[in-house]
Amino acid sequence: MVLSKVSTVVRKVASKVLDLEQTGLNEQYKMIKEASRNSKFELEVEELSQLIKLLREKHAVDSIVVAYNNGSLLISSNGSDLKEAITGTAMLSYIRSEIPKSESVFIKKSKGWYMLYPFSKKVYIVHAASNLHNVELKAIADDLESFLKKHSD
Amino acid sequence: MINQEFIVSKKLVFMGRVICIASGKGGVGKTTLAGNVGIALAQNGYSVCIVDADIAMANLSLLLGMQSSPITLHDVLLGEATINDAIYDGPKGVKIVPSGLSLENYRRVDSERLESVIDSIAGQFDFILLDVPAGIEKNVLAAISASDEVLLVATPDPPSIADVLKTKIVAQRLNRKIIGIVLNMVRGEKGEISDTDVMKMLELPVYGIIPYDPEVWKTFLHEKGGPLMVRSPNAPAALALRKTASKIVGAEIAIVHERGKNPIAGFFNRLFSIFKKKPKAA
Repeated sequence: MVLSKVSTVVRKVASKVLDLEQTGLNEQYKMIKEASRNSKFELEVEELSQLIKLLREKHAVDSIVVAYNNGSLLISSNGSDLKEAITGTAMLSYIRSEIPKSESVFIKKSKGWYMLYPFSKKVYIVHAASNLHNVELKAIADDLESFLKKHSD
Repeated sequence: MINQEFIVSKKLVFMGRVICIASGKGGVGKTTLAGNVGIALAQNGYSVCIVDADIAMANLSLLLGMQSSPITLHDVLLGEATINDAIYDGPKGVKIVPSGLSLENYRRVDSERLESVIDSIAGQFDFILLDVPAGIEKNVLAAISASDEVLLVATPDPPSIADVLKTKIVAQRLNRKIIGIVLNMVRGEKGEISDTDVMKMLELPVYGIIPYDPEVWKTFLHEKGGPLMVRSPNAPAALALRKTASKIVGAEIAIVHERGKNPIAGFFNRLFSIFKKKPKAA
């Protein structure tokens, strides 16, 4: 014990005198490393219900509901959202009837954003605190469509 | 006449790679890297197009002295010109698509069109490099989305690394392949984050360690300016940028020996030129 204490003191003095760099990750580095690790999402799951929850986390949104164009629900990150599916598809259908070339719909709520993104004969209904860009909505759709394609083959 | 000798031990065949150069933080050297790596690749015989995808704050054309281009990426994204109308010849055989400097046009531009625009020329080049804006806003997302691969750039300090991490996360969300990170403006001083630590933190390979080099700063000077790879190809930063280019290509070595551009000989030439008789003006 005395020897270990002596060795610690000698090491500290030596690092001061010789101006040795501190090796190893400090707190900042650890925080960055952890954030980097937490940003990885493994999307190779078996169930669609698992995937939708992972997509919600991956894309940092409040909820994702996917409906078919006729209003029937495919999947929701909140479990069951029949009303959301019907409302979203109806709203998109109306807007497209008035503005035929509508590619997506963004509605600012008092808290957050409500977004409708049609893709591959479905409607992606996304709630988030801040509005996503079309490319981000497309990325959500791509992730889900890849899963559907893989599991339909 | 400058003779150039390249020693490349392996050259792979590529099918049009679209790589965006992105960071998070501004001022870390994206434009310098995109421009000079593009020139280095072109010098190695690859067909390269560098696109200034920084729609709001275009700098690539300034780096390459092409600020007067009549048709720019703005016009293409507005649907008023084709991309081929906006491709210009740059230094050493590289092709450039400059972005506009007009703030008025910037407001009208739809950056989402960038992906289809880049797709339309992807087959014409071995490499398309996109110089992406700083940050993670919509124009950055559009540029990353238009690419297949992402090369990150950072300086070796915690704010830059923290910001580049956010760009990495954004690129991952868009399902883009992040090929690596380049550490720029490395001074080798105490307190800088080492390349080993960057690799551990970001879990990415380091594609280059570019030393801080005062020669880079001269790029934008009026009389002595021009891209580093053309003006001072033997500068330490230029050599490091070539290594980055070779890493992107997958070739083992890219060395440039430029005969006739010996700095010592150049000095004596300039000294003796003072005593040479100048021809009389007509």
